[in-house]
Amino acid sequence: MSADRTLRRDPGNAMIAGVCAGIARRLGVDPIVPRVGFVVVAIGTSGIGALAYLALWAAMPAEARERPERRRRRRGSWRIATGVALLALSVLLVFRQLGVWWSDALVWPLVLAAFGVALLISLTRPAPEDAAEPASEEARRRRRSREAAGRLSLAGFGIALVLGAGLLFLWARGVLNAAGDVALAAVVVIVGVGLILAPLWWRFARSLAAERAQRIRSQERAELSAHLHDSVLQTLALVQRRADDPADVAQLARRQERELRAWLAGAPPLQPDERVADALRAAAIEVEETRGAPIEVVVVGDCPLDEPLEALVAAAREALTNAAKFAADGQIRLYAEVEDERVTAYVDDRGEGFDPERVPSDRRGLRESIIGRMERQGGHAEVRSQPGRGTEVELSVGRRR
Amino acid sequence: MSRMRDRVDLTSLVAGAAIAVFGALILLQEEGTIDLEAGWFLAIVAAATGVVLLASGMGARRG
Repeated sequence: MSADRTLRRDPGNAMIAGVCAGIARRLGVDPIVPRVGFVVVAIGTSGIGALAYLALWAAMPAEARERPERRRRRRGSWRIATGVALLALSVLLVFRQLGVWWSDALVWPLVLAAFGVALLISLTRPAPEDAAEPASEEARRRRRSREAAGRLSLAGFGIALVLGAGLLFLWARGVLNAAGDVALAAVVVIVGVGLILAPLWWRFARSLAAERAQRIRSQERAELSAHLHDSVLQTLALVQRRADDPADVAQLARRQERELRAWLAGAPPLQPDERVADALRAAAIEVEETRGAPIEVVVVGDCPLDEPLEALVAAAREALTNAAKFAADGQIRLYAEVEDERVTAYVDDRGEGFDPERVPSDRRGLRESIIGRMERQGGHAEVRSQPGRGTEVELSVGRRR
Repeated sequence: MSRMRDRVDLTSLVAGAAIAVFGALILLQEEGTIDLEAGWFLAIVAAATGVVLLASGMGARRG
């Protein structure tokens, strides 16, 4: 137990700055007790008592405590928003004092309505990405449920502000005078009912969010089961049936691996006729399936496919086919980079290699399908190879504007 | 020097300055040097609280 008896703020449980939470922790009471006390004192002293809060905020050091990035960002946002709102209010009050003012009956309801609308608009924005998601599913569920309940309550508050602004405007214009005591009684009853129902509303909102999270989880599990059945289990069944053909089994496993990786990464279906990255990936898959050699593909960037790029893809396919033919069991890699001005692809293998100068002139695969094809499109192809040290083919072509 | 700078809590500094300014205004009011209406006081309280909240929020965002 810490020997430090300093009264500290508790920003982790703060509504504003954690002053009341810190006092409650020291006194061993619920934070609501000092909070209500501060509100009563602030009202009782016409707002001046709120300065005591500021004084304590300045005087009390904060509890040193690590907080997740997201909570820090969000709490900061709230304070900034409230701070800006108060500064705006201060400017309005200054204008009012200076006499640059329409009328209280118009401006204050407008301010109240603007605040309510701003609150409602802020709730329509998606929540920021969470950098520190809790590890356990239960903790995640509780957090989601708490957040959903908080959003519902804020929505209720925003709606109440807008309605309140309307009522205030009508009251200030004397429209409600006719209703008189009846309107006042109705307001008191509505406020009372609201206070009574608030805890129930809170619990209902949380259970609603929890139920929704549970339903989403069930759907995700069902989708996962269906996908595993349609892909992995079917492939495993095929592998058992073709166990006597290692090449076939390896090809099945490779195809399944590729599909599973794409699924896990949430990758969209390939568009080999439209995008250069997909065309290169499709070429690698085609060679892999026909030749049975594993090919590692890395493509950085992407752009639409045009004639020069189609030539680059075709040359890369030819280079991959050669690599698969001569690289034996070695690994083949295809690396491509799409830049603003040009697209470059490298195909390399750790195969037996060869001397490019000694390639017979009747071997058209290298000279025509790779080098000639690239040069006809204004591109460039270079083959670097040495016997016993593998081969690297570099293909490069400018992008059309 | 830099260690000292690291220890400065911007929120506390701004809150302290706001309270000092507010205290000075009350003092001047009591002395009769200035004559502030309630509206002006409200504006000052709102501005002080707003500045403190803004400083605190920005401090929290910086981490």
